[in-house]
Amino acid sequence: MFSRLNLLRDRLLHRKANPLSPCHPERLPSFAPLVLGFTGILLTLEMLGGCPPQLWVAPVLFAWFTLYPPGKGIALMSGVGGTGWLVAWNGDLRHFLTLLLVGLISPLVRRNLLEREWQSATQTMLASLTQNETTASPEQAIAYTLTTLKTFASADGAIVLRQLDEVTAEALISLPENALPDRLTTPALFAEAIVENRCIYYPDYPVIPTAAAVLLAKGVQSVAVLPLSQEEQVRGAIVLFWYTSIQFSPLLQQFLESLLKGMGNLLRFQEITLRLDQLQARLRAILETIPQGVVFVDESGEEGWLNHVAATQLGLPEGAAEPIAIAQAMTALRLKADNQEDITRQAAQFFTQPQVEIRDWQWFYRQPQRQVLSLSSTPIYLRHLPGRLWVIDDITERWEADVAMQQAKEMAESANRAKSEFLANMSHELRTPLNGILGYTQILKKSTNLTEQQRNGLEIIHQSGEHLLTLINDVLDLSKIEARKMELHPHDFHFFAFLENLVQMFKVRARQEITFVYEPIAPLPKFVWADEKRLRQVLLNLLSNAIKFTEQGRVIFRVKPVEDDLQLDLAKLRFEVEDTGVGISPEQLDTIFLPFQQAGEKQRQTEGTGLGLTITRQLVQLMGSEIQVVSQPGKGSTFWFDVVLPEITNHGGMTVSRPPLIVGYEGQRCKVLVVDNQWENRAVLLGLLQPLGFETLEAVDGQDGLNKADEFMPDAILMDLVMPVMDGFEAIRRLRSSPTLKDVVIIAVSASTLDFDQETSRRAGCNGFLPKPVHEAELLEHLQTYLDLAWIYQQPEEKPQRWETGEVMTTAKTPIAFSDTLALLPARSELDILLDLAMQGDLQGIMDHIDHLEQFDERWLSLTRPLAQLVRGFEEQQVLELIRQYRDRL
Amino acid sequence: MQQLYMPSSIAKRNNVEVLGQGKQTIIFAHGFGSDQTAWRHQVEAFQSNYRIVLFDHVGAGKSDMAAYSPRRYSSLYSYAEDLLELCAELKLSQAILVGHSVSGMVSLLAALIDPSRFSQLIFVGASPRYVNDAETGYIGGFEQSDLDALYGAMSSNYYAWVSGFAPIAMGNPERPELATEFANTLSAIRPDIAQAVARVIFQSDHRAELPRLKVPTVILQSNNDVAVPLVVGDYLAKHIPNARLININAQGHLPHISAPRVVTQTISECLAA
Repeated sequence: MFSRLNLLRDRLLHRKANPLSPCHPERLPSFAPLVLGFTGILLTLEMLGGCPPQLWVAPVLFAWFTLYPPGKGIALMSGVGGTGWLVAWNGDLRHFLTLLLVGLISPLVRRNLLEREWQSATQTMLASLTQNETTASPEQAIAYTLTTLKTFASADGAIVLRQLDEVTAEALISLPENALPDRLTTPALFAEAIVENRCIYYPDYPVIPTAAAVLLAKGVQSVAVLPLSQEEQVRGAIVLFWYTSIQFSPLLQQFLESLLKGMGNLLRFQEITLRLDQLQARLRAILETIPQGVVFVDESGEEGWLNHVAATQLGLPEGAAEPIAIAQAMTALRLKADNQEDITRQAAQFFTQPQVEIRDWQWFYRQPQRQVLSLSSTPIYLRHLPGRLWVIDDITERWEADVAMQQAKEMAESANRAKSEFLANMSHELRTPLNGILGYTQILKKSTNLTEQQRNGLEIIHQSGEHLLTLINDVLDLSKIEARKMELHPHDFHFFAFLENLVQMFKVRARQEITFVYEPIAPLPKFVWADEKRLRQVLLNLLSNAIKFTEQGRVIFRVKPVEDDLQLDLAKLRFEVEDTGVGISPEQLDTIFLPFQQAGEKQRQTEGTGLGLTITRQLVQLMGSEIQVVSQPGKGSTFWFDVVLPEITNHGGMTVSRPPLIVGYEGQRCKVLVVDNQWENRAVLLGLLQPLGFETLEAVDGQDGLNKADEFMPDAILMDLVMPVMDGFEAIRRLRSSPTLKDVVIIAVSASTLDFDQETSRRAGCNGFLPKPVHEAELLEHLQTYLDLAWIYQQPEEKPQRWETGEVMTTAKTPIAFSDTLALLPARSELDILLDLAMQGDLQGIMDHIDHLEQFDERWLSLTRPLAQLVRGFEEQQVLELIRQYRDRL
Repeated sequence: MQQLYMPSSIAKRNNVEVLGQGKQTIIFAHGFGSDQTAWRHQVEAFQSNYRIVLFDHVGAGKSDMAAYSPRRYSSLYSYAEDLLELCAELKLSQAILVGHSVSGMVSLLAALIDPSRFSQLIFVGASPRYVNDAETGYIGGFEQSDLDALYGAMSSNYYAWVSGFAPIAMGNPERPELATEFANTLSAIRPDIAQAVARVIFQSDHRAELPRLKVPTVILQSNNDVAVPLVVGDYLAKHIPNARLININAQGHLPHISAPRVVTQTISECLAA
């Protein structure tokens, strides 16, 4: 009895502390007026109908028990009171039964009405949820819903929580605001509800082991947790708590559970809004950070938008703007541009078709300051509404840089052309006088009436001249390589003959103290495809160095196949030159390939230009290889490089020996005019042409050439390009415009080694181009091509093939034997004759003289055989060198 | 089937140690850059007469690193919540809490939420706000630019920063081994956690909560504390209703390590009072 009274007191106190709002379902907000009205009517009828006053209590009792919860104490007290009252009044038993019936029916009516009230409350809330989603912000909607929920559940607090990570939950909304001490708490608060995916009710919260300390500290007694789980993405919960211990009625539970789904949607809506806000913030940051102006216009004319930069460019406020205002501002900007013609032309092009992408539409401005705008535009769709995105890029700086770069490039190209011309001129201007100096020094040295002093002086002039010539050649080579104008011109050639030629030359050149050993290691290809000239240059340099820096001992020249490390099935050969010379110190090894660096003591450095190894290395690099060296000071050095030399197996058209000698041509005699201001050059050409039966005439410059050509009516003209009075280019142009001579064959002959002249002369109208020094084979090939000649050849002699393997394996003894042999012959006077012929470039003369010597005495063969080989190859420079070597040795 | 997330047991999460004997419990809470071992001198002195609770804050010492989340620990309230969970787990009430540095404010927040757990708070080098506030004339010891530079240094090379920061915080340059010890515990923290935690601590402002504290509080303030100027001790004592300030004869921010006898002595005086 006491406990019941306590319970009653609690309930009454609770009511006071936490009165239900008038709209709470427990107060039957929709039915209360009906019940009261019904009671009033019934009471009135009873009074008017003369019912006994005892029965007047019945409607009051009905209204009381229907409208208010059936507090057991109150019911009991009513029962006891009623019985007492009945007994005291001594009333009718029927009246008592009526009252009893009313007392029993009313709670049933109440339960029924309550169900309906809760249902209606649920519907009202769900309706408000969906309505609020579209009208208010998600936070407001959640806050509203939570307030209603808290009210209907008569809870003391309500919190919406969202899980941020495994250990963090964030309170989105707390009612009251200080329901939690901080926005952050742990997801443990709602973990169980999430896992079981249902509402969890804790009527006695303090006893559960996972109770949250923050709630316990507030004195929370009961808790309901409603999980809000959206697949994997969003996790959260609504937590309702009460400071008193409450029982969760089935109606309340049903109400809460039916609301869950709607709340879940709301949370997802909130999440989406949050992400949208983040995206918008990011987008805004991007648009405000980029240096371009960005404009969006929707083509229905409803919406327009521009960023900060575009606003400045167009003179509009940033943000949303009327599409018409934007269009007007853009038109105004366009009309201010200085390149209206271009703009209009491009616009016509752009806007003829719909949905066009515009790229780099440039608007130029001179006022108020120089500015170049580049406009791009893309059509875009926003929910099927067509629109256009414009990007306005200020490219003034880039444009100015481009202009400056273009100017710089043109200047650099022009400077480069000037340098090329300068090199061409230098090549021409320096070689010619040097040839004169060297030639006449040779001739003077033959004079017998010279004093010792004069002879020494001449020797110095000679040596200096030679040095200068080599230097010029080397510098030109190097500058060509460095200007990347050096190209390899590979062709098929007889590899054995090539090697034998080299070997012969160095056997002759090697001094008495040195043994020159050639070690070819089989299998070597017979024919290869390579740039013969450059390969020879490289090997010449390495072998010359080896001999130059070796006082005594030996120089070994090895050629051998090496393993192709890439397995590409290409013939890779190693060329190796080993000497027992002065060697190179480790410090010097780093520098020997740099220009003007040499090994050894000072006195040796007088020989050579100091560019040999630099050029050699660059050439080897051009061949796709790298030159290697090992050396020990005082013991000697070994240089080698591996290079891919593709073997030519299909050499049916190639003959082992040189082609047979041309002695003339079939048909009528042809007339050739040679135009060159230098008699030496003319002499060489005449010397080549006359023996073959050509009728020749000389002219000393362009003008002279035109005059002579008019009279002579030649079939072909060999035209030097650089001449006084009138140069070759001008002469060619005039010939081409002359009615009588416009079809004459013109072959340009130039000392310039640069491609530039070839191109220019070809453009000027010449048929062919021959570089100086003129090779007979090339000259004859040109003439055959342009004059359509059929050559007459000398009958070939039956000679044994010279390039068989086995014969090449030769060693040291030759130089000594050779010197001994020459000592028996009148060598000096004969060599002087050969040298003179070589200086004049008279290769035919040398051949004739060789024939003469061989017939005279077979002992000359050791000298004439390699010489004849070089002459047949038109290797003028090497012929000269070989003859000098022979003379020096005497 | 969703994976049920079970919070790691509090004992494991906070590496809780309970030792000593006595009716009264003392909780020792460490500060930033150290762990429960920082209290070894005090533990030695009090364990015979008191029940002692030691723990490591999440992210420090031997706490469960999986329980660390930069989101959750972006607020000192989360540390306070952890502390309350620890109290609930050990069923502590009316405990004495000795909190160093940030643990001062952590215990204050915990005591605001549930005052019944604590009978007395003892702050060692605590501060409600580290940044000076020109508007209210508050001196916290740092300008925002100082702190920004500090965060920058921490993120560019954490270990270099540690070797510079440890001696400054420890003070007592004549005993470099102290700074080395602090540098070691600082280096043991994951650099990302250390940076995040330092930011949370240095940017915190709990001045508004001070007047609400009902639990009796003692504030131990040492000299030349780089993180907490003397005026901060005065401020705390003035704004916490039931507080007493004791300026102790010690140097630097970690007096319980650098001057253990002074700190122990002062604490026992507080306990006796």
